[in-house]
Amino acid sequence: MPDPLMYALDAVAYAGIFGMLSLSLNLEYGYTNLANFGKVAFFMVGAYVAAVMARMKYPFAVYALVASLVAGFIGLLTSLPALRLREDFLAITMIALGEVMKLIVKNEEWLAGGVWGLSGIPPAVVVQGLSFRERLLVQIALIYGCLVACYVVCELIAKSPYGRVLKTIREDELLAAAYGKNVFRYKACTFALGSAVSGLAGALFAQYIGTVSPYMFEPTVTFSVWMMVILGGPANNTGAVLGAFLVEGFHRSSRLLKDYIGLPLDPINLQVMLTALLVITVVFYRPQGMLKERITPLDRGLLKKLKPMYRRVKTWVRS
Amino acid sequence: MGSILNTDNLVKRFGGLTAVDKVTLNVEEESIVGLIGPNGSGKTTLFNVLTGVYRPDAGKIFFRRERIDGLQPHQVYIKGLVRTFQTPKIIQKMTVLDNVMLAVRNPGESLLAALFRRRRWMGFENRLRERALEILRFLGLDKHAYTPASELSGGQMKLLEIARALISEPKMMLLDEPTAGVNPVLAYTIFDRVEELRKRFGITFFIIEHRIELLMKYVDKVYVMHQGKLIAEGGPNDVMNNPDVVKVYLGSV
Ligand SMILES: Nc1ncnc2c1ncn2[C@@H]1O[C@H](COP(=O)(O)OP(=O)(O)OP(=O)(O)O)[C@@H](O)[C@H]1O
Ligand SMILES: [Mg+2]
Repeated sequence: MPDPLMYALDAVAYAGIFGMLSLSLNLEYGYTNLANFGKVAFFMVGAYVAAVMARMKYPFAVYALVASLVAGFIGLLTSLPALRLREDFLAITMIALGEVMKLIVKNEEWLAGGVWGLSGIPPAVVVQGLSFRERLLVQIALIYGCLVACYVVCELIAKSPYGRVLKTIREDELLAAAYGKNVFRYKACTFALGSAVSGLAGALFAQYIGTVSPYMFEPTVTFSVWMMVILGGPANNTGAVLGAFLVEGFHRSSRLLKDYIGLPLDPINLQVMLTALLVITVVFYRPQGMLKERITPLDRGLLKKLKPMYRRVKTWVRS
Repeated sequence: MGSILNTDNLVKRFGGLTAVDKVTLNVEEESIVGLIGPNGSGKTTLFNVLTGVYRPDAGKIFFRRERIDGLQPHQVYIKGLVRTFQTPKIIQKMTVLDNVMLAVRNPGESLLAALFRRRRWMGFENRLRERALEILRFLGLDKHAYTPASELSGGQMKLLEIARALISEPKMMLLDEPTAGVNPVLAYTIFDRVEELRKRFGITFFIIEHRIELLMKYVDKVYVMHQGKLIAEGGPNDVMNNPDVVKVYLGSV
């Protein structure tokens, strides 16, 4: 049994990375009703781009940016034909895309190490003389910095006229089109942005783990992210992050079970069953997820809450 | 005054069914024109073709002397031709106010502006909100501005549809059964508002309506549609005395 604190910190780091994936899927599915079942593909692209560039000693800021741009660009390219499909066909196409991209990486050895993947990826921040635990804390700081940035971006979008257009498209595409919105352009743009965020998550993942291989990017990754969004509450960014914590925490704790309870059954199977149970319970009793979508007008958003607080602080400082 | 909307032998087929059959019509600027006909005669389909939801199989559409057939719905909207829907398309997970405001093209609807230039569109948004509130007041919905749209009654949803169509200051509005499911008093109010809008802002109206007596009190001209074809046109009295029209309506009862 590993050091429990390290195990917990590792879970926190993972939850942060998956929180970004969850936010990106929330943007696509929760706000725009784009059933992107190919999430893992863009995560993988980001991870591989980062792996290659990090091994060439590029700084993190550069390869993280390139990884998001490449993932975003591929997202845009795939969205152009895929978005012309109906919702359910889009889902199927995207699952297939994820598998195809994984197979390409796996079989084209010259591209990125084939089945062996790439290893020896240096971490983004290297500080000499840190203990393993301290290095983990540095990683967490980096990951959560990126998570907060993504959260802010998603919140700004949700609380803007742009977000209002996305919601309109989600609820009724015909209405959006009849009222002057170029539905296709908005969808493509959202898809590209969601993919770029996934690419960034992939870059963080690659430098955190230190190695990438095709086996890390199975469709189960996509399904985990879906679970996070469904459990947390679609169209609620806080919910998306909360969902990431929930699912990751649940995965980890159910994995721990096997060390404490002698079970007659494979813990992995148990984990799958428990996860299914969790999803069914939440969807049954709380179909809107843990955190509901809020119906607030734009002018009652974050800013309105912060302004009086700011004023109070100002008067308090003056007196 | 010239014509604002006219079509030339417009055809729309669904498989073997010709839902709109060689429709040629002409709507004068600043007029109120009615469109009546039995259920399934193709009225809504005609609106869908006019607004770019369906591409016509044949024929031409001119709006303010410009060809608009083949344009996408959002492009037709930008030209100033706006429509409402027979079953109100209300976004339940938004407030009534946002349901209205979403109709206006807003500088904050670009991704970059949403992220980086919030000050720029917030001013616009504030002015837009005032205008939306004014329109809601005009239609008697201002008390509900901040409630979720799902809490509105059927009649109020119809009013909300009109509010949304109004806010972009269109040249012409296509109303698909604006009084369906609305109580008689409110139905008259709606038509009074239509007339007022025509007078004050010069908006042209083309209205599908099943309440014929009500419609006839307000329109300058009526078209009658039957099995995809226009079978009569003219002033309210001419049309109501037209034997073809009488036959269609008696036949369908
Ligand atoms: N998308 C579609 N696909 C196939 N057939 C359609 C479609 N839309 C309408 N129709 C058919 O076209 C015909 C005309 O329908 P439409 O809705 O235009 O009638 P309407 O005059 O608006 O009737 P109502 O007064 O009941 O609203 C009907 O027979 C209908 O079934
Ligand atoms: Mg109809």
